[in-house]
Amino acid sequence: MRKIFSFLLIALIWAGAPVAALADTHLVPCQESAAFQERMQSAPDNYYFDTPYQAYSANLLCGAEGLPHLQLRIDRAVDIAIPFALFFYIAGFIGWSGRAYLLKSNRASRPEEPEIFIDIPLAIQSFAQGLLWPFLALKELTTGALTAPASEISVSPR
Amino acid sequence: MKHLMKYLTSAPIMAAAALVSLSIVMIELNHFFPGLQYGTYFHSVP
Repeated sequence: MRKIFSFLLIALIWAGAPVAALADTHLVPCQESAAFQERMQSAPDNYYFDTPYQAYSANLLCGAEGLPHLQLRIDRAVDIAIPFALFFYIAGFIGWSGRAYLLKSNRASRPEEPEIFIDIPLAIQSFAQGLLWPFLALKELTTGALTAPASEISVSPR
Repeated sequence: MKHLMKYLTSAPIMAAAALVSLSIVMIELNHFFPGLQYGTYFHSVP
């Protein structure tokens, strides 16, 4: 039953998305938006405002309030996909290097010491390992090293 | 020298150093690619 509902929900969202994108006609290219032009004129005149405003004016769609909007459209998917992929990779890198460092430092004779005084060679080694985290995670997931075996997971009495 | 190195590798000092270097990276990114947050550099035509 739950599966049927989830399929129904997916189908509804799938069918609804193009309609929503077509209905989103209030977005105009930023260079044609009077509100955006007004914002651009009143912005401070320096590099940190000029360059972004020129780029937005050339590339992005603006709403009635004159601010750039990113659309959730399949042909503009890269606008969302690239920043998300970058975020996901960087978050995974931070997590994986920390995990690798802790796993290795636990094997030291005094495991608490590398946590208080950072072991620089070990840290660099962990960072290098963290760069390859998607492959390492996949490898550990398939070999079962990433997760605890089911026998170790406590289950409350039923 | 040995004690200085040990002090410099202590977790709070390393955390502060990491924070400062990350801030420098972010400030430089904003300098070379201002307005990157809207994804303007991934597309040329809307």
